[in-house]
Amino acid sequence: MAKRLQDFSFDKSQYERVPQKWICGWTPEGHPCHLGPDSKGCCRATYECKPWKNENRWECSRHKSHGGKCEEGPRPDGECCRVLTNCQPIRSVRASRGRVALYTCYVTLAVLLFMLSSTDVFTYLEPGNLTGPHSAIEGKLGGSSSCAQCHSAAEKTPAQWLQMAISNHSGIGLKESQLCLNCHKQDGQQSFALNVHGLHSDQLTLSTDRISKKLASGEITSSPEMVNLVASMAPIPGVPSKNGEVSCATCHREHRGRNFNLTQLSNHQCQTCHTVQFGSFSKGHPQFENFPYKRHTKIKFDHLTHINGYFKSMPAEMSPNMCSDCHQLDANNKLMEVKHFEQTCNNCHGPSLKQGISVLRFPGVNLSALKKYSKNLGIDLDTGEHSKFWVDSEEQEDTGELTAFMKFLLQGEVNMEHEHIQTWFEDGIAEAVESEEEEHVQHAVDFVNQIKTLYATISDDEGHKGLKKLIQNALETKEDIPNATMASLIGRFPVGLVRHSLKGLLGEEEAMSEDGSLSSYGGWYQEGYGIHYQPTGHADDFLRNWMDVTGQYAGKNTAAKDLFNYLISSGKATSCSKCHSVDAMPDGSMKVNWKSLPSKKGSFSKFSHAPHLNLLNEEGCKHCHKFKDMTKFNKGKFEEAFAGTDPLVFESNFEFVEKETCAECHVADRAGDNCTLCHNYHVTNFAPALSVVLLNEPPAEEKPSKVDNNSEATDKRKADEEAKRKADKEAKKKADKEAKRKADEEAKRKADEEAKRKADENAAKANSADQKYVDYVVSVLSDLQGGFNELANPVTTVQDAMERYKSSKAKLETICQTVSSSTLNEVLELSKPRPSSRQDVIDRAKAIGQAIEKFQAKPDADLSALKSLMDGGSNETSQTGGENQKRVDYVVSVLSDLQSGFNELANPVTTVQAAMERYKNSKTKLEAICGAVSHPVLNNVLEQAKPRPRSRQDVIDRAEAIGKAIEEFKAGHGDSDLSPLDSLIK
Amino acid sequence: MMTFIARRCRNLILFGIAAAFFFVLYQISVSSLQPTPYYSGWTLLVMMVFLALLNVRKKFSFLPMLGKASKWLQLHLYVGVLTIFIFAMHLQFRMPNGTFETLFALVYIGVVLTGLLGLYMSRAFPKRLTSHGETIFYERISVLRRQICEESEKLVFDSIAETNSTTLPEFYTKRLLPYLKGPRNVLMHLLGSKLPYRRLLNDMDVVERYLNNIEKEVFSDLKEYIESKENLDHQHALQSGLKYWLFVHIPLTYSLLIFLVVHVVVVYAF
Repeated sequence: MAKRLQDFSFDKSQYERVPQKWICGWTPEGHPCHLGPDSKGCCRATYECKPWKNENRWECSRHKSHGGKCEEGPRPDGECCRVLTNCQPIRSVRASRGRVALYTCYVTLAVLLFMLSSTDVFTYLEPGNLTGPHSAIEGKLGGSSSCAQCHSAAEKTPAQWLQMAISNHSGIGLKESQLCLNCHKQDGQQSFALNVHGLHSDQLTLSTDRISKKLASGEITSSPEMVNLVASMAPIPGVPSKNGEVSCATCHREHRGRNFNLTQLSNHQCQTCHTVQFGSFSKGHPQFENFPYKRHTKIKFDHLTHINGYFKSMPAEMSPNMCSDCHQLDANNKLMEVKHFEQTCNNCHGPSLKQGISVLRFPGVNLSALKKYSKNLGIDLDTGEHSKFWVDSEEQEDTGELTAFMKFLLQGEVNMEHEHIQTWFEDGIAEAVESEEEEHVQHAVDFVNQIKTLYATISDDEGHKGLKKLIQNALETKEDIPNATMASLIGRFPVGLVRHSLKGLLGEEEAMSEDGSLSSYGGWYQEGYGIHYQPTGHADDFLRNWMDVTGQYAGKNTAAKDLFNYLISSGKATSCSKCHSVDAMPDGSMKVNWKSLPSKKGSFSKFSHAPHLNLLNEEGCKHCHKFKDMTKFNKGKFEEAFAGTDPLVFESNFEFVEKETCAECHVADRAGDNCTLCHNYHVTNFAPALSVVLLNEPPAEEKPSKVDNNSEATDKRKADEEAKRKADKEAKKKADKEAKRKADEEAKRKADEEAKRKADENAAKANSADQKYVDYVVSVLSDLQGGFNELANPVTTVQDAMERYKSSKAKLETICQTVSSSTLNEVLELSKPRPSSRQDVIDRAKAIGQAIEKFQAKPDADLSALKSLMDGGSNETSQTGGENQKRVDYVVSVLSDLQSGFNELANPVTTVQAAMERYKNSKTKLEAICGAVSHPVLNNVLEQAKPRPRSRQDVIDRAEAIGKAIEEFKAGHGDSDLSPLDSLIK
Repeated sequence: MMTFIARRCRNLILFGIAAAFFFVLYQISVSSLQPTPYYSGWTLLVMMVFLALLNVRKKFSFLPMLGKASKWLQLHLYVGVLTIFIFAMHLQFRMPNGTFETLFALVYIGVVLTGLLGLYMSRAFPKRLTSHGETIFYERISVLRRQICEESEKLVFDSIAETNSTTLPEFYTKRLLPYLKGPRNVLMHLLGSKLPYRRLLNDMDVVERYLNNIEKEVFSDLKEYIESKENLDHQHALQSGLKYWLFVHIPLTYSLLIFLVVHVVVVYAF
């Protein structure tokens, strides 16, 4: 039973003052004083009590809770006899907690202050990693510079952040989005980049109204899911307005890790602004409208007529059998483009593309009558030296009509309204010979003079300047047409030919090119009184450029329109519009669709053929692209659609693709049915965004060119030109590289020859006085190398190898002390430290081998000082010389090889096979030597070498015997005639 | 007057409704491309300030219009747990990886974990305190510990004259005095383990066999002191737990509020 510890009686229980900040310092010891510290934490300890005076006697006043009256009682002077020991008061629990909280705040503030004042403040404040592509900005610029690319606050101080935080934030997202657009420029229309879908609000309103009407009429229905329904019922501020601008961050949330998908959006998110909402693609998505044949195709091709008619009448090998015979995936593996003309249409349509067109001609005029009338009237008609080229309509029948090109160019020459000038043309021609009235004659004279001037202008001495001005005048444009565009128009104009004709040469060469047969590959030729152009074939640049430019101005310039209409006019064999559809653009310009691929600009939907091709069944492409029944196909409407220029008028050969076809696979749990799978949010494309930030260049000023705007063809052509320019540059670079390579090779060859020459010189030098020294050093180095080589192998002769190594190193040290050679010093340094591994030994042996070669090629020291060393050493070679010495060396080397072969055979090395080869070769050579000369020592060696060794010891014994034989031979070869060995040595 | 169970059920249901409400709002907000982090962030800020106001409320206990502190505490608990959901939504159910954001999140997690620990202790410890011997004022524990020590020491050493034996004093000096001198086995008491106490009693039983009758009487009194000391340690450990968890929770809360202010400024500036 535990003792009860607390007594709560009134005179024994102490009152605990918990909220007090300070407590007695003796509390933990268990004997706090009853006074306790003051509010400032100072000890107040004096005495246990303050005695009181009862009449004349001091009495103890200690409280019962502290033991009651003490036995001693107060002192006579009234002071308590029990003195309290002072303490250092401590904080109460509550006060300690407050103190800890305070310190924590200090630490927190210190940490934050450190972060905010650090140079790496943005590294600390970054809420998460940027996505992979954007991390390049971080990597390139780092710090505030990288943050400032997207956040204007990054250029400000933390104090300014506070100001920004409490200032008005309306539209801040859009302002910051402008920073995004510094890199992500929308093609063409930057001002709409932040608009919903990147479209002009009018377009969006029209689209919304169209959908709303359909919704109202019940043509389509909306069945939103609960989330979208609630969102639309209780709109919260911040939903992007239908016609307003949307900040980039609404959909693209950054700082969520390297691999975060910035473009990922849920179907609910996509639909949040939409008038029509639905649950999924298969359930609720509106049916496709005329998909994918909403507009006429770029290439006018009647599949049904061709397949059911023309192809059947063609030989089987010429007619296509499958879709892939004419169609292929484009470079992006998305769209199916038509293969090149040469691979598809050329067989049938190619030959008809080379019919010439008349560009310039002298119109027929009754020159004699005109001369007569003008003379009578005193009007100056200066036919001059060119008069003989004018067709005299009295002599030759000629309507005198101008060519379309001339009419266009004369617009630039004559300052007159288009309608008037047309009348003037007709009147001028007609009136030139019909009337003697002064006005008519003057008209006709002016007409003739203008034609003359036109020719003169085209062929003026200033190159194409006159022609350029004529075109600019005709197009009524004051803008500076880009050089590339202008060059494409006039660069190939036959100035020389025109000048030629003006100089009177035309008549003489007329017969040469009467029917254009000299221009069978296309180009300019003269025929009759005119200059003609025959297209080079399909995609002729000259005509294409003229069509593009006149098409661009067709909406605002009648002359350009007339010429464009002439160039594309149906029925002409050369007409490009036979196969290429023409689109009337909203601004009135005309665009010839040169490429088969539809433009994806402004498209809400996208489709990639590539992943679908592998899924085709036996129907192939027809599974989706079903041909129309011939009975349903309206051929007339088809032709009519292409005759016009409205791209939205179209009669397709194919049935429209139904939504259900796609929905067979595109459900959530199969191929997926996310909106972004098939739809683009940004209708217009964004240009690649690498430039500004990473190159540290200011954003290029966009200077829209009137000529280039809305001209996909021109853009494409410019791109082609750019590609060609790049290709040329690349080719030039390659050629330069090749030339440089050849020059380098030549230089290297010369350098090699020079080096070889020098090496030969050195060798010759070495063969003379220094040779013996070189040989000596080489032999020492070879020994050293051999020592390392043997050390590298797990041989039993390690000790020998070490001895060899030590002795050769000692010799080398002596040599290095005697002569000063950097090569030898290097080798000595290399040989000094103890090898750390077998590979180290091999590497050193290799390095020493290279040093030997280097030294042999060019001894880099005066070796004469070595004489004393060699005299003291075993210098056999120095004692012998001449032809006999070579023979001795040869025999010795063969014997050494044989000995080495045995040596290696004796060792458990991995080069047994090589050793065997060496043994066999040297044995064969020894047999040959013995066959040539008769020497008992050599014969003995040969006898020893022949039988197969019985054991490792046998091998070692034989090696030793051969070694002795070598010594014996060296000592006793003088009696033998070794001259028969010359043939062997050679 | 609602019963405790009924009140708890009501509160849990209200809590569930509030959590579901915020989750639906979150889903709608995300699905409609709203700046969800702004909404969830401001919601969190308001909640955190409210949670921090509990401490202020305690300081102004004399103001009746502020409502009962117990009600405030109840709300503090439920709102505190609710912030966990809002916090997860604010972070879009992922961990931040920026330095500042990570520190901020860690401080919040620290506050939440200490809060949950405090909630557990404030629910479990009072029962254990009242069911385990005499309930002691925390402020008196050190005095009573000293008192036990002095009395037991006097008891043992006074008995020497009678018993003429040093067995008990030696055992007391070597084994019991260290136990009686200060608070012992705090962690074991917090975990509810009596192992050290049983081990001590076992040692005492071993010694008791070697005591004479007079010593046994003294030893019997000594056991009562030991039992009282065991209870004193128990009270000390549990009451310390109840007091000292706030040493982490409250300072971290202030730290959190400082982080919060900087976070708001940075978010709005950027």
